[in-house]
Amino acid sequence: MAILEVQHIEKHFGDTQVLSDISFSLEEGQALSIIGSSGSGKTTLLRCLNFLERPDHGSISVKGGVIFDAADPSTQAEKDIRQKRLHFGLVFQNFNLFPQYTALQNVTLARELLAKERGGESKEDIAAAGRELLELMGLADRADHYPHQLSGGQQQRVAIARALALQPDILCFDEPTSALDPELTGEVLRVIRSLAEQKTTMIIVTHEMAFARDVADQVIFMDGGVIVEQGDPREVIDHPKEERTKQFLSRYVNG
Amino acid sequence: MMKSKKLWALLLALAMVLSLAACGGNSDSGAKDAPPADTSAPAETDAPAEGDQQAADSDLAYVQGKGTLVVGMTDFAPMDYRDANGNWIGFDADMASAFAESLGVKVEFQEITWDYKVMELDAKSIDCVWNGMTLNDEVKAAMDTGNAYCLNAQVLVVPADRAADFENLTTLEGLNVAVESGSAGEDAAEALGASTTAVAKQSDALMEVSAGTADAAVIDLLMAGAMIGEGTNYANLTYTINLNTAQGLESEEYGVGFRKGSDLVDAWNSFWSGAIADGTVLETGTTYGVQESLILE
Amino acid sequence: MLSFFSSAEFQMVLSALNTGFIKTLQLFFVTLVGAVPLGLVISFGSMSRFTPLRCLTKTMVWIIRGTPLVLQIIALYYVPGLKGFHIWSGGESGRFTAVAVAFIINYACYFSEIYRGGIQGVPVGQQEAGLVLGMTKRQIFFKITLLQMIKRIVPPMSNEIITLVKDTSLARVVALQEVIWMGESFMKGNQGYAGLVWPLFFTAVYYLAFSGVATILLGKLEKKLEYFR
Repeated sequence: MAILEVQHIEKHFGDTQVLSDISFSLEEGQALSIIGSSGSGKTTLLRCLNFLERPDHGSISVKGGVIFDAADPSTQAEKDIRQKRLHFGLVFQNFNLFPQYTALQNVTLARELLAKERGGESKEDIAAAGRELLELMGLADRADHYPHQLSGGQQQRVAIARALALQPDILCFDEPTSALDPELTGEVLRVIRSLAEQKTTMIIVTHEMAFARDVADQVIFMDGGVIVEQGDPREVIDHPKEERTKQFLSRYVNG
Repeated sequence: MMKSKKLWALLLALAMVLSLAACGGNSDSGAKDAPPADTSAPAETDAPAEGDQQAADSDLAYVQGKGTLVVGMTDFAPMDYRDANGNWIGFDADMASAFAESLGVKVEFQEITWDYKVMELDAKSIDCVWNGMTLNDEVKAAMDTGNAYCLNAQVLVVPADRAADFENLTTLEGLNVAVESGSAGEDAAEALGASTTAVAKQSDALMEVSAGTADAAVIDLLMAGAMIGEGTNYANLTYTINLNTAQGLESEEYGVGFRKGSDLVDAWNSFWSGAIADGTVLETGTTYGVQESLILE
Repeated sequence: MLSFFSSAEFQMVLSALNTGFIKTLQLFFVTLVGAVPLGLVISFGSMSRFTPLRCLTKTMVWIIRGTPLVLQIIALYYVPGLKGFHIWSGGESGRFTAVAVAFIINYACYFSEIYRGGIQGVPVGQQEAGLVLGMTKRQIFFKITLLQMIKRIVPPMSNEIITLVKDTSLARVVALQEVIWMGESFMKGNQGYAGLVWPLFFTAVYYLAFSGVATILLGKLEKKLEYFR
């Protein structure tokens, strides 16, 4: 069974329709890449999954359970949303690290707050887990640095560790390398690639076509708020069927 | 997100309603019961409780109910000023203490901003204005006053060593005279042809003469009596002619101001007659050097 | 010169000014303790999505910031009494309470605008990062936004606080005997000394010393928050 099932999602901002009839599913352990030009609705889709936006129509199910249905108000109760958000992790384009906390504190803060509410893990356990995650990101020696003391690539890797700390079912990336200098994108992509190799379920919104083709098990091309084409990355990226896909991809080949 | 913002909003609204309610509550109790104040005289507490209705109308009962007479004044020697220990003394201060005693209440001296004396009185933050207050039209219109108890005049203050030069002058022409801006002294000096230098306070006018930057000053007789001459900071000054007499004008009169319609006026008048009769007024006046100005009839 | 400082006159004036300055300090600290949290409540009111509350709050802030503090003090102290509501107890303590309330409300409104700028200046991404990590609004405010906001508001708050030190002198309009009142009293006559002008100007020493200390402390706070950007 699919770990994530998105059906007929629609979203308007005022009179502008930014998403229409978006449906797709994702298997556990797989990586989904979403490509498309800016303004095509990719980011809004990710924000809907993380309850930062609320779709006007459609439903979202995780592990067979409906976590959101626009037609069923009982799935939208404010008090449950916090819990539901934890199914997803989100890595932002601009990192959004908390500047007043060290790298390690950024990773452990949310987990500590949850542990305080529910009991369970000790502070020491959480800190140890946090250090382990930073080590996995190649940042063991940066644990006590503040965000402004880190390079963009390092900051983004801390952000990935922060998202992983809560052990989400699905990790979402919103253009994780777009705010980085070209020479720093590699270190971040390497981390995401290794996560894919460890069978982390991921949704990656990206402009890195080569990366999407290599890492993703499935690709969705969006344009004007609709899914134009989806399927195996080598099919979609190397042999697009739709005219709009071809046009979009040609810009990357030529550029 | 919405939730906590609404909570804050609610709290704020609540605080506003509460503060309004608090004002309302206080005003109710203020009207019904004795007003909130230091009710330091426990013996008094029975009387106003019985006479609630009367308390609402009678200023005297109000003052006796709270047990203090709050006297609005400023630092104005020799009428009101602090001694070396910081206690209020002076002719007015001593007499006010005696008046409060006659009412069976404690006296409390409250320094006020002079321009706001009428507001202070009407807002009941003070109960009377007793501070060498000249009974001019403005005062008479805004307050009910007791009988005049003191006469004042404008006098010419000159350096003691030059006093002889100023004797029997009938005009101030050619003299540079320091006066308090907007005072009766300023009018008098100008009427007699002086060229005037207006300063902020009467005491500043004295400084001008003392420093030699003015030939003379025109100030209140009462103040001159207390502030200059032997044993003061201005031992080198003296006062000569009475400008009111020189102009053929009536003297100014001092009185005590109460709220409009207050029955404290009658209480004060009868207290004062008694104090004249038993010699208290003259005795106190002599202590502070104002005996010549007192009205003793 | 030295003999002047040991003279009875100087000692007398100094002790009077000290008494006044204690009043000044009391007013300063009471205002700060009251206005710092009240300003936060008002800033939430002025950012509320509940329109009537937002309009009410903004109108209040506009009135308070748009009229002189000295007028607010006079109104707050006298108007209730003139209308028959004797809410301020008599004597010095009543005056102090009234003046403190006026100062707290006035400064809370100024603070609220600084807070609002501080809160809105924190990037929205910070809040979203907290949300997707499953934090509550409350946790986000206290654990993430607050310190970033404080860092942003320290410089403008420092300005207001230095202004507050000096604004306390307005309290003498309703005869609260703060340090300038005491300084002025020696011109007219106080405890046997009259015509003294220097005590008034000497009060400047108190203000300078206090605002100097405040500047240093606030500067230290600013420095302390420099560990992050």
